[in-house]
Amino acid sequence: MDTLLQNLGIGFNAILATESVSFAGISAALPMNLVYAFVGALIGTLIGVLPGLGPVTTIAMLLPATYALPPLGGLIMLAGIYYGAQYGGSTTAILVNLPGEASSIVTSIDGYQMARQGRGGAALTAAALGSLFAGCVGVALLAAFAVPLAEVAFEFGAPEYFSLMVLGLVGAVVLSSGSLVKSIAMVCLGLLGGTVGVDPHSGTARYAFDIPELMDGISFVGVAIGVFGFAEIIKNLEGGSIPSVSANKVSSMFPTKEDFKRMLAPMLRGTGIGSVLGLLPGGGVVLASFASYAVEKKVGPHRREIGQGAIEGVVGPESANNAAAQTSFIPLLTLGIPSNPIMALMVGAMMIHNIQPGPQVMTGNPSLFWGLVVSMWVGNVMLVILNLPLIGIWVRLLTVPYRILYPAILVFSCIGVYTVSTSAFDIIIAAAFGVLGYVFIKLGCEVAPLLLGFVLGPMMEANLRRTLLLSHGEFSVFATRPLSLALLLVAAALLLFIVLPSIKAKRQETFQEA
Amino acid sequence: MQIKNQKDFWAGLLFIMFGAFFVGIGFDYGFGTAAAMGSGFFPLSVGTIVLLLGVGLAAKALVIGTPAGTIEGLRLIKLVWIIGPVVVFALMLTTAGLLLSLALLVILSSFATAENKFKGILINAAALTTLSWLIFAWALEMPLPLWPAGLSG
Repeated sequence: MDTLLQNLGIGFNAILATESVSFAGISAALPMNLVYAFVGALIGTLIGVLPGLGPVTTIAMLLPATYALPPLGGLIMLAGIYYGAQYGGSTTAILVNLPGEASSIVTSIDGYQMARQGRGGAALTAAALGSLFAGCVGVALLAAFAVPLAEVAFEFGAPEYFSLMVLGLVGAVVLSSGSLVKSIAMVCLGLLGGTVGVDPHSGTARYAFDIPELMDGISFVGVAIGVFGFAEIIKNLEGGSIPSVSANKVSSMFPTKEDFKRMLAPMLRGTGIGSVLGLLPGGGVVLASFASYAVEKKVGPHRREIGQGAIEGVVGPESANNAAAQTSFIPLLTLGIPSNPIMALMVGAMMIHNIQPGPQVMTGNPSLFWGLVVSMWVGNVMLVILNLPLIGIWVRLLTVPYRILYPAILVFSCIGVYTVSTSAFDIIIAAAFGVLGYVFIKLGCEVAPLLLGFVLGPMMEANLRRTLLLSHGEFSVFATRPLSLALLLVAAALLLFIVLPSIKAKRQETFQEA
Repeated sequence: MQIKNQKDFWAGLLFIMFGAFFVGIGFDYGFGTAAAMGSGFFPLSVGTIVLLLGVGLAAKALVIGTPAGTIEGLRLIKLVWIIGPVVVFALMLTTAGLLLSLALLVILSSFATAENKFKGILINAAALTTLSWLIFAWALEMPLPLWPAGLSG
């Protein structure tokens, strides 16, 4: 406990540290990290509110911009964007039935009903409080488990890392919504895409066809923007613009005493569900919110009201998605393994600042690690303060028609991709993956597994090679080492679990709900 | 022979195509042995998996169909009007400079939807170009080629 407090102390020091900044001739000493947290939370809420623009695209776009910022500041801002988007998405989901984020889709079911019943304010407050609680718990978990997990990670050798990545990819497949076969194939495609470029082991250029820009591999930011940014835009433009809805009046902001009583249990449930699902590779905010909704429908005294404006249907999923947003940082910050595409982008952000993600970050750079952890807590608090008064503005923002918005997304995406490596070729990559991404979406193939495979591919190959080298070609080493065996068994269990027909039906049902 | 499940069939073909590509070229990189993996070991192995999955998927799609399997709402023209301007932007960037290329990007991509009116497009282009300059060039001071090559900024 003492060391935890010590560590948090390091974190608070880092985040409250002031820097002398001058802007347009005026200088001041500001706690810049707090500023970055605020900016991140603000941007996050903004894009959370806007449908058609999500945290993945935004973080991918702003990644190169963080190069100009100090490492901690950049990470704080990007993290703020991620969990900020979870708050923002719920505002519009409740008020105008337009969830800005996929993780807020289920919130809109009961939230919008509550708004139509004149109880929009109560729903918003419930969502904010649930999110705050869950966010704090998530950060607490991150702080508490970081050190022990990192210690386990130090025991990890090449076989364990390989098995962990296998688990990660299996998780991504199992927890994605489409056909299993297609998701596995997508993961494998991602792995293949990661091999493009010079093989660090042998120096042979693979699949590069003498194109110099391909020697370093396919730009990850390019792929992310193409597949999540461009393909999304094309898809959104298919059926005509997104309709704008007139907002319901928000009368009283405060939930009643009865509301508060009903909020408690779903908040706890949602936080629990979200914390676990955020941790799992391939899990994340969307799954957490859906799972919480499914649970609320089955449990609780008011479960039959779910769907008609039950506050449980708002608080549960909102707590879940915020908890998941926080805990999804755990695998990244302790083991160095990204558990979803956003975390994969964070890996990119760390690399830009020459930080190798993994357990050594905690020991080698404690102020970075703990500063980030503390910033998340501060960010969550800022978000609640930000959101409640600014709701009117957010709703008004929704009136920006998509037809004006998407060229803006294109502009920022293109600049963003270009500035990562000052390469126009990367923009072409993004364009190509935009086409590919759109085709995949149309064919029912999930793209998140593709991205994860892309990021994890090179690491997996390196670890596989090292393992087999040391074991002289014996594959059994994966099963004879206990940690590795455990990881592979969990992966196998996940796969089996999913293949069972009853679970299959449940899975499809849950995803059909939205 | 009828395609019962469109999505799966074409997805299967796509996987076969990619798998074959990676396997075909991968042979040149040498498989090696398990103990001493060659450059081709990983791509060949994973590529074969993709190839087999693709074959299985496509074959099944010829036999079993579901209503969810039909491709809906494919609008290739939108694709052209979004991706095309992006490619133009990329090609023009170093020669024409950022500001001109951005303006062109906005103008061209606005045509992807019939709802955009010409005056609106021009205003949007001007606004976005100015905003981008403000944020990226002035505030963040990023190295960007603002003006056409040969003109000093």
